[in-house]
Amino acid sequence: MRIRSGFVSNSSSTSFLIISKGAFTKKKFQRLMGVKKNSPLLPLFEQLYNDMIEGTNVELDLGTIKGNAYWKSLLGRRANSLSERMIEKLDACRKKGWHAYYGRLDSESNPVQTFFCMDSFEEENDEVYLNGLECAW
Amino acid sequence: MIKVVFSSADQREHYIVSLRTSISESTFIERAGVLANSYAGRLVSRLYEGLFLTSLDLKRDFDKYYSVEYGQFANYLRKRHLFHHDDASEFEQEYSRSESIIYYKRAYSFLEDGVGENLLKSLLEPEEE
Repeated sequence: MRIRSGFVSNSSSTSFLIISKGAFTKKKFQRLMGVKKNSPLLPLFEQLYNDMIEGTNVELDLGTIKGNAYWKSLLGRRANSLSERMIEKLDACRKKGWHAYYGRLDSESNPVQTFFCMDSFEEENDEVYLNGLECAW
Repeated sequence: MIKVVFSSADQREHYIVSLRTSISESTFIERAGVLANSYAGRLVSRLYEGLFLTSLDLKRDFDKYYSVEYGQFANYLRKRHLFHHDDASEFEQEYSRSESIIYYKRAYSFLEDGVGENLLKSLLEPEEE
């Protein structure tokens, strides 16, 4: 029999949103997160990038794929779960022709993904916006 | 010196770190190769805080509160912190040449499976120094 004295929690998952000027590449991600090429933390962020790519299976249609009707439909369906700020961000990037994706991270996959699944982050530079705050997708 | 010990109490890896000299947060961030005002920079700052601000400095704790009660540092490690005999003897040797001996328990999940030992070595004991 094993006795555990620490706290016990269920597994969890969270969603994230990426808005990118062009393709969401590993280099863009590293610049966004502030990791240099010689960093000993680089493997950690490479693992996170790979997990995010693996966990991203849907590109949001911001009116660039099937037209504005889909964007309006998306807003209608997500109005209750997305913050006004995120909708504004999506709308602004939609008008610039950027790409948006959403995906999921899972706490039961690997130690790296477990950490980021339970962390909160929102990062932005002039080419990528990453929202890991709102579990809305 | 950095030693990984597995805790049966919480089923996690803990780290005992002996340092010859203290390290500033800016040096720690520089060694980590991250930009200070970024997500990675903030993550490294949290790591620094976990190591140097919220972890127990075993040497300071012993000197300040327990040296009379336990006499020797190894006794303090064994009886108060339930260190294995070999680990206690090893850090007894480190005591006189260390400025601090840190017991880092609240490590992040991404440090598991040997990653933490290598990462902490590169941040605390870089080869060029």
